[in-house]
Parts: sequence; structure tokens; C-alpha cells
Amino acid sequence: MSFFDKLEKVDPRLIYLLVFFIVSLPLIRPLGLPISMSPMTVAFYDAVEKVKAGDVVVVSIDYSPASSPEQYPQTKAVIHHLVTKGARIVGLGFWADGTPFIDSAFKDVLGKSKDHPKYGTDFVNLGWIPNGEVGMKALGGDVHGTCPKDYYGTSTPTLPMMKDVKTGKDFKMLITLSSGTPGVPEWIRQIQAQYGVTFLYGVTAVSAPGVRIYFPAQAAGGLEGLAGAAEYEVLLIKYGYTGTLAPPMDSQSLSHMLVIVFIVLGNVGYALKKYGKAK
Amino acid sequence: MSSTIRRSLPLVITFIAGLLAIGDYYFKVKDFNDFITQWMKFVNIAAAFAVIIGYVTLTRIHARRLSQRREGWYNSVALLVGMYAFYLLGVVFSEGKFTAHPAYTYWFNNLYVPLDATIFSMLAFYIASAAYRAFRMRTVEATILLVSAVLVMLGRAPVGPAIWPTFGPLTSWIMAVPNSAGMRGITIGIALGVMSMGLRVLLGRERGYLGPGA
Repeated sequence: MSFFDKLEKVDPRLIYLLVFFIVSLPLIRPLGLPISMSPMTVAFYDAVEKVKAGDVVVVSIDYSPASSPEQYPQTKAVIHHLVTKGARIVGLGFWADGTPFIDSAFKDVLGKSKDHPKYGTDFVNLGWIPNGEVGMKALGGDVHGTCPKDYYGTSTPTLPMMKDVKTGKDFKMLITLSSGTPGVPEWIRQIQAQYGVTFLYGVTAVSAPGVRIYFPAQAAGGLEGLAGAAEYEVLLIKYGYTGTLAPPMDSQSLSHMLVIVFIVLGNVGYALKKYGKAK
Repeated sequence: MSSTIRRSLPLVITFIAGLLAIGDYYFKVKDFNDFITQWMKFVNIAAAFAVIIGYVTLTRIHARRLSQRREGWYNSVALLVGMYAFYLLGVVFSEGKFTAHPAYTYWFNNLYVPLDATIFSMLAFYIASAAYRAFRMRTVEATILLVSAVLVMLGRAPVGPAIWPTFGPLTSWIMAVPNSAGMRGITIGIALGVMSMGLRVLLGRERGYLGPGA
């Protein structure tokens, strides 16, 4: 095998090994690379900044544990920001295996969920709603009917803040943290378009190109992947939020560089071989 | 039930259901809209029962694999044990708290979350290897794709702007202009296709959803 062939056909096991080290090292010893700002994150932040105390904001957890390393930090940061703005938060989810994250996020940000003294007045957890887009339609038409009980089994109409939250018209803002279907397009069709609710999204990096098309007409901003969450954490420092994503972003930086190095090597091998053959 | 009714009844139900759903969007008549809201709740409840069908079907398929000792039968054991263990934790032994019960939350956080996240994170290895193999400057289109991918990779990680600050705005431009233009075109095309298919289903021209021979 010639040198050019070797450049073109690196053993995948070597790539796996290098990726492992490149991803692991910054987690052990962070590099501290500065985190830049994307316009989508800034737009997201600015939209949440406009929330007034008492506004009802729905936060929907539409992801599964698979994407939780990317999206749970988004969830915590969003809840923290909304709490500092004094919003009344309605947590719910359309992904059955994602709903426990609502409870975890409230506990991580506020210390407690159901046992918190402000549960029911400042925030609620309505849990999982079945049937995807049809469920969203039903939620917009009748919140109490679609979620007769909250996540903990309490009757929804008896929760003080839910007395003012009966249909989609009562939502001031809707934030979906989504990694697939049902997610951004479904929420836009059933709630944003029909009730004129300010809509924001947090998605995985791989979903970002597909949902960017809704900005700025339907979506007022978005957090795109781990990078978006890390940028958002930086913006929340002024509210005392302590982020955790700087080391993972260093890992991402190095892994991107590694992929680029291998792409360049592969193409050098390909070009030299082709050029050599032509000669 | 005659075969004519058996064939026609689902088509009639589909037609009426479709018209009601569309009508709710275009006509703001309180009583009618209220009826649709109630109907949607009924559909939600009916859909929740699909979980039971899912349980029965999965159990039948994997119990058969297990009893016949087919290749990979131990995967079926893992699936059945996992499925019923979480059912017991979340329903039978949850004291009415369902997934909010601490035992369910414990196993969810300490078993399911790490397992699922690990499987997903393995994509990093495959994507790195696949990108190396796939991104070759074979044609002009492939070269444009390669250059865009490299620019976006640099712009979306802190290292890019640290090397050259313009990588950030350049990536934002790629995402906002060429990417969004292309995706919007695709999305509008899909929407037109969905409308056309919806119309065919409503009019009974498309019967694939009724099963073979419909």
C-alpha cells in the first residue's frame, strides 16, 4: 500500500482511539477557550428577557435521555432564566421518556419540585401528554381537560396558577426543548400559529439546520446544540448562573479539529493519487 | 358485516374526521370548536391505549424469539426484562405516583439515562470516521459541501473564532442564508406533498393505511 493509499485509508480504530483521547482530555483538564456568541442564542436570550413577572411560559421537554447531555443543560438554563424573570412556568412534555427531566430541572434549579412552597403558584409540572401533534391541539383547546392531573397526581384545576391557564390563548411564551418529532414544526402548527404565542426552541445540533427556517417569523430565537447552551450559560452569568459546559465545548473544539485534520489528510491522499495517475 | 361496509366504513370515518379537523381550523364557531376540543381529548385517550397494544405485540414477538432460541434471543430477554421492570416500577409498585415515584426516578436516572446517552454518544466515533471517508473533493458539489461542513464545524466550536473571529459570522451566514433557503424549499415541497396526500386520503383515493387489499 502506497503512502497516498495509507492517507486515504486510515484504520477506523485509530480514529476511534484518537476521538476518545481528544474528547476525554479537555473534560479532565479544560482548555478554557473563549465561547463566542451566535445570533440565534442572543435572540433567544433577548426574547426571554422581555418576559414580565407573572407571564405564563410553557416549557415542553420533547427529548429523550439520548440527547440529554446536550439538552438537559439547555433545560436547566432556561428554567433558571425564567425563574429570575418571575415567569409562571408550566412544565410538560410530549416525549414519554423525557418527562422525568422536568421534575429534575425544577429540583436542580429550585432545590425542590412538588414540595417547593411555590409549587402550584409559580410553577407546575403537568407531565407527559400522549399523542404528539393531536395532543398539542387538544392542549391548546383545553389545558385542564387534556391534563386533568399534574405529574404528581394533583387535580390541575386546583393548582392556583392554573386557574388562569385554560387554553393556548393564556400562554405568553412557549419554549420547546426538542430533538425530533413531535417538536418544533408541530408546536408551530398547533400553538404558535393558532394562538400567536411567542415561540422559542432549543434543539440538538443535528436538528438545527432543519428548524432554522422558522427564524425569525415563527420562532423568536433558538438554542442550537451544546454550543447554543454554552453561549446561553455565558449570557446568564449576570443572573448568577453557574454553567457546566465550558469543558465539553473544549472537547467539541478538539474533536472538530481532529475531524478536519482527517478530512484534509484524506483529501490530500485522494488528490495526490489522482494527480499521480493523471501524470 | 358485509365486505362493502367493511371497506367503505373506514373511508367514511376518515372523510368525516378529516373534514372536522380542517373545519375547526377555518371556522370559529364556539359550539363546533368546543365539540372538536372534546373530540381531540377522546382521540388522545384512545391513542394512550396504543401503549397496551404495543406491550402485547412486543411481548408476543420477543416471547416467540425466545422460545425458538432464534439468533440474538438474549436481546429479547433484555428487552422483556427492561420493559416489564419499568412497568412494575412505574405502575404497579408506584403507589399512584407513577413515574414520579422515587424508585422509578432512581432507575431512570441511573440506568436508562446513562445507557441511552452512551449509545447516542457513540455517534461521535462513527461520525468522525464517516466524515473522513465521505468528504472527498470528487466533484464541484462535493467540494462545496466539504468546504461548508469544515466552515460550520469551525464556526460552531470555540476553537474556530479563537483562530479567526470571522469563522463565527461566516457560519451564521451559511446557516441563515444558503441552508435556510434550501431547507425552506424542501419544507414547502414536503408541505405541498402532504396536502396532496391528505386530499387523496380524504377522498378515498389513497387506501394504503387500511392494509393490504383495501
